[in-house]
Amino acid sequence: MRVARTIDGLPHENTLALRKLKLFFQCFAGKHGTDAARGIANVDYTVKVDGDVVDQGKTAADGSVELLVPAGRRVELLLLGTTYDLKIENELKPYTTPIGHQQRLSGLGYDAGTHNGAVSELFDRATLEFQGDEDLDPNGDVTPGTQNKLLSVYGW
Amino acid sequence: MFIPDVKPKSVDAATGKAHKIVVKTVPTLLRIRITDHLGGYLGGLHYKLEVGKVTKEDVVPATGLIECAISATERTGMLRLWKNKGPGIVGYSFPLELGALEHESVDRACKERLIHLAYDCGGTSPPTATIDAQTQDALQAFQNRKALTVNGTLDAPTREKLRSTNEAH
Repeated sequence: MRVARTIDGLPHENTLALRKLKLFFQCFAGKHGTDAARGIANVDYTVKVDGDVVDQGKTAADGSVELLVPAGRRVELLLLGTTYDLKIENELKPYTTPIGHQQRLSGLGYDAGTHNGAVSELFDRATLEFQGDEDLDPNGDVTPGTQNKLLSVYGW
Repeated sequence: MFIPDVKPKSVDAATGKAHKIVVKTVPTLLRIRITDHLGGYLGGLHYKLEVGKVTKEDVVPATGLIECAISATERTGMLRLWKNKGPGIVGYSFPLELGALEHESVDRACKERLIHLAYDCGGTSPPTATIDAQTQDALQAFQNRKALTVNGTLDAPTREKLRSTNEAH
């Protein structure tokens, strides 16, 4: 990290920002049921950055893990014998865009494939599963009704 | 702005002998503000800052500001942060290159500032000057958050905002 020095009396400083993440490990996708029913609680996890162990703990009662993630580094989350490589997305795109739709589906645990906005079997299946879970007409189409429902379930 | 002339100062010293001359300078400081990606101060983390012979170990205050007097001649250092301390937890390590942050007119320096602000530009660390698709995505996200024109390019307002967001709170 390249930083600038300063002298007493000058206001200059450097910023180091860490992205706050909260990941939920659940038995099933979506937000149905209670936290206790969905969450995979009290499971050991380890966080690594560029191979160094930076944090360890147990998942909370709702299955969540709170992380601090620096940019430009390789971040791994080890849990239940699986290593998850975390790829940080810089922002959530508008919910009316295909990428924004994919991001929200993935955020809820539906596997919508790579977030590139392109039509794919995974994207269609994720939309279908979401529609089925939310009692919408399961046609796999990204209709305004499906978009609005996804927005309200995801939260923003 | 008035800049006074440099005044020469003389000291009598005998030849053939060694003399020690002490020059008073203003103390050099290193300030690093720890924030989250939304700009909120991130207090409560444990930290250890090592620069030359200086080691400072404490908890990041609520203001997120780590400040340490350092030697003006040191070129490298190390900052470590811990969310939780415990056996086997090495912590987040940030090797420091002191006095090496370039002007915001340099593309690579702008990418570094984006990364310091937790925007992911992909690629290697330290970054190259290439403005690729991932960097454009990071720039768009930064511009969107700062209410700038969203064009994914390093225009003048974006360079200035990157500098001011990084270097003043």
